[in-house]
Amino acid sequence: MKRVAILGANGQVGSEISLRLRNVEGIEVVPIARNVSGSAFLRLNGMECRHGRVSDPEAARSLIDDCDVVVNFALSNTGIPRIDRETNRQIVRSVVASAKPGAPIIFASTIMVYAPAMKFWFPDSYGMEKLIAEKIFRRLCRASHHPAFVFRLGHVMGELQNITRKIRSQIRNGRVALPHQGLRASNTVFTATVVEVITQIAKAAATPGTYDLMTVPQWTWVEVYKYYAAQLGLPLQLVHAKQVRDPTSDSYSTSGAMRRLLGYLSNHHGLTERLTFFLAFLPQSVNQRMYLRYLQTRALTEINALRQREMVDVCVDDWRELRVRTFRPMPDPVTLMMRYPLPSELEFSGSDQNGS
Amino acid sequence: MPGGSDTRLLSVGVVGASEIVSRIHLPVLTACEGIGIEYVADKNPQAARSLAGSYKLTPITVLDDLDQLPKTDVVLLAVPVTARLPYYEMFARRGTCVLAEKPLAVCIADAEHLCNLYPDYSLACGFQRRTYSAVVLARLLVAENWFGPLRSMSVSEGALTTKTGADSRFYDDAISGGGGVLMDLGCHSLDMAMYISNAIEAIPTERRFVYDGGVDREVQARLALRTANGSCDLDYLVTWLRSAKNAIELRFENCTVVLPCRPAQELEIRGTQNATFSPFLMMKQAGAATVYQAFYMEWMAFLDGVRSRQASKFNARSCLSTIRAIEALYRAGTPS
Repeated sequence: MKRVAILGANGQVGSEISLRLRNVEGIEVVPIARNVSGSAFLRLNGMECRHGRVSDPEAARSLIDDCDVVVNFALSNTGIPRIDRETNRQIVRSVVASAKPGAPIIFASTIMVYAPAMKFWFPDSYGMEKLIAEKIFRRLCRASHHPAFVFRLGHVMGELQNITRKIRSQIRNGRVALPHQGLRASNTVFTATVVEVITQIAKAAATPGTYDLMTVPQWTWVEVYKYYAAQLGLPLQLVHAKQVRDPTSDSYSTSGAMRRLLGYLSNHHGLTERLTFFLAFLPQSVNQRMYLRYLQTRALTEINALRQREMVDVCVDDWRELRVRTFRPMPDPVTLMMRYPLPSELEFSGSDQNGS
Repeated sequence: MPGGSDTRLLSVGVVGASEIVSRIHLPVLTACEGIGIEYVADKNPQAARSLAGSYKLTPITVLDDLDQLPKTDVVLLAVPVTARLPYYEMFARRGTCVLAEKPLAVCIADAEHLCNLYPDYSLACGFQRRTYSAVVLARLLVAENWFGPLRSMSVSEGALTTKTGADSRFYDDAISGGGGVLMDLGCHSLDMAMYISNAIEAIPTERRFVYDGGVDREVQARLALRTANGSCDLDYLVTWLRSAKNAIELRFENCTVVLPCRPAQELEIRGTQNATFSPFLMMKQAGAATVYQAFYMEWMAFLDGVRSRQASKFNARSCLSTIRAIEALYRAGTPS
């Protein structure tokens, strides 16, 4: 029996991984949370948990030094960058220092290190911090002879994940708008795939290294939405590109100098009145044309507001398709989700019937 | 809203270079997708040239032989109601779809005759207030009994109207306009009341008309609205002689819902007690909040219906009960 510690078991990913690992043969899962309120959900679902601060080396030792594999999903996220940086790096140092000698350690990183939302490589602070933490982790593991696994996770899909609730809600609500008609790779990974990876590492059937943890071959967004639509027994109603609101585009707004001029004039009545005096010197046909042009601009502005109101926001981020450095050939997510199911009667998991 | 899979370009002709066309329909049509405006036609060559020139369109002078009008998929018919019959008949022969400015016809017999000339999807009447957000919401809450059965309604619309401008010419010409304030303005609010309550018939029980040289300037009446769920009274006022509330009130057992006659997104809910505050219900996602949006939605619904051969909510047959009610009011209020 291999004992697998899940640090940050109170989080969305940590909770679901713990629950799915629970009935895997040959694995004893040890969820670890900082305090009892963090672990309440798991405990009320019948899991024994350990409690303590893994950033504290003393506490970390008592929490994980009897575990054969350590999976680190722990993340400080106070919103104060300085505190988060120090805590997250301290967690890495503390975990590597406290793990049982030779025990594989998995560090959960993110595909944000690739800056997928950008056309060029310029990660956000979350991606950059994870990237630096990866380097610290690898260096410390090399020095302490721990097999080091870095997994850069894509969007994690699963029953307890917010993104899954959101997708289901969007499907229920009807119209779904996806960038590039949903044909671009989604950079997603299912929780069961993460469980499969942990299981293989626990069985010593994996080579340490840095991997991208995404479904291979990648699922497109349409495939992801179709998967959940089929689960819900609902049709997937994809909207046409013309019905999609593009926050970066101003194509529907009345463009150009005329709108700006009319907008400016409407706020400067003194100027408008003086211009009107001069307008009266122009021929009647020009006067009429200008008036009708004003009405046309006004109509278009109001109609555009209506069009914008009735358009659908794009449901997912328009990220780059990432080339995956795959861990190893894996079964497809549908097979894995069935292989590693959640307990059938999950308490307090919350309903996503009304999720936004 | 638009959403049909058939997106073929429809050609549109405009017959009548009136104020409503220049100020409303053409600004809206030039913003509509999926159409091409072929011409602006009027009996008055100068009016056609002037208006068409302003929008860079082709002017056509309407001659006695209406068949000389170019063929289009759709026509906006905005000539005075009493002059429309030959147009209706000619366009029906051609298979041209027609969106007619209100009123569709001056009497129910004519209106029924017109409905029989066209398939339901291809003749519509411009009761664009049906698209107002507040109207959509009011109809929904009545249909779904949110506040229980509708007990009664009141409509009060109008103002002291002393315009002598170009668009006031029909105010003094009950013959070409088909009537006075009731036909010109009142038909809209009466249609709103009937549309919201889903009434199939309105029977006048009391009425008071103020005539001025044969033109009705004010109409006050009580009508019994017959709906699928029973009947309710409608107190009705439309006037050019004084300020009115410009609102529609829907009375339920424990509350009154008020919506303005103008485009709006909110309904005001008043309890039976004199509360300091009135809550508002808002319809954000469906319906028009401005006049241009209303006309745009009317056009898009009609054009979608033409493409899919499905009647829109503006189809002429759906207006018959309103026309019947107007005729009943006029008949009852005719001065002896």
